[in-house]
Amino acid sequence: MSLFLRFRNVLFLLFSFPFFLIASDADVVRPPVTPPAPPAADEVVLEPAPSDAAKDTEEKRREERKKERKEERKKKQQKSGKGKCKV
Amino acid sequence: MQGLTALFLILAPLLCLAGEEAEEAEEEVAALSFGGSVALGGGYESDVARSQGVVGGRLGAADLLVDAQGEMTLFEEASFGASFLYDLLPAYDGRYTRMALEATADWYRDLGPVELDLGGAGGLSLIDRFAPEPYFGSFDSYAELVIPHGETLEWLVTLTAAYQHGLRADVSYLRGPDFFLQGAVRWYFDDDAGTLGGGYRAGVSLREEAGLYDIAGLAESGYIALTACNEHFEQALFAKVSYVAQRFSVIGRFSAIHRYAFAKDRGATLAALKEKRRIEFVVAPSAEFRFALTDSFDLSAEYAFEYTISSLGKGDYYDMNGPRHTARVLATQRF
Repeated sequence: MSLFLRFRNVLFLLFSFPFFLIASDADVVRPPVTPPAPPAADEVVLEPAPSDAAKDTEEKRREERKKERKEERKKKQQKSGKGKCKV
Repeated sequence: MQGLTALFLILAPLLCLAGEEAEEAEEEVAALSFGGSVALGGGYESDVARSQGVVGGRLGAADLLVDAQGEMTLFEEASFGASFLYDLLPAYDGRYTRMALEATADWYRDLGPVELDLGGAGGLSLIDRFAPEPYFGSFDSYAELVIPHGETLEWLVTLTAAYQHGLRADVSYLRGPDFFLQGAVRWYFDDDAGTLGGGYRAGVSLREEAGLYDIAGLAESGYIALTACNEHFEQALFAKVSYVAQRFSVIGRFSAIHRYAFAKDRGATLAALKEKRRIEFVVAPSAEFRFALTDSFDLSAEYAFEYTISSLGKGDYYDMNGPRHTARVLATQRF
């Protein structure tokens, strides 16, 4: 006698048990599923806009870069000549 | 009364449109801004003969400086500027007094994860105090990519291209372009009061060959012929630190520059013919102190040191070795 035939009752119980659970679960009365309420308009911040402080920082850094470039240009204008470029 | 009501009904939309246009006009005005500065100062340079390409002559000389610049910015993105520089050098009877006029255009764009800066400048340099004449013209352009890395760090990649054109006969050899690529990093610390940055730059500077009479005094010192290569590769490491404490700010700079000429210089006297490649190593630290008396007026003092170690030394047609000290004080009014 094969093993399958010997334990067929046990296997039947193992496979049928989940179906029994599903069937019993169907009788349970569930509360209605409702989507979560959207947050209030003043609470919804999907992509925060850059703050004034961040903008100020960015502008300040840009100004600093501009200032540096101006200084470099000025030094170049002032220094450039035969003695400085002469190789 | 009905006529007035009808008139009101007809004019109301126009009034609304006019109001909107007025608001837009106000925004345009806000998007247009002007700025500039006027600076007056003076300084001292310890080796003015070498910086002006003169053999012999005096070592140190003082100068007076007037620097004025103005800028117009449109929509916070494009700016156009003009500047005037007058550097009065009384030494040598004012023959090396410089004037420079320059027009600039810069464009900035925030591309989200990166920022882009593009710009160019065209300038005319004049020389001689009593008989000013065009010395050279120049054009500089740059493209800079700023890559923010977090809130306090940013990477900068800069490509520069420039062209210089010698106008006076004695600098007619100063004609040619420069191309440089630069990578730098900048760290903003202590709530942006302090900045620490550094980077590496490499490129080529290409000018025409210089001859015997391009160096004042060389023929008189016994040389009968000279061919000097003015094309070289240049690389540099640089660093800058600055800190602002209320009205006082301090800036420190350091750069180490290496230059390598593409060909050997050939100089001849009646006794010998010499060939030597010019290779230079320059170390240049500097310190600057600024004190803001008001929000728009500040005083600054700067000291810069430069030491050059060159393959051209004593016994060659020009001794490029040695230190150079430069000190300068400046009063700047911004508007």
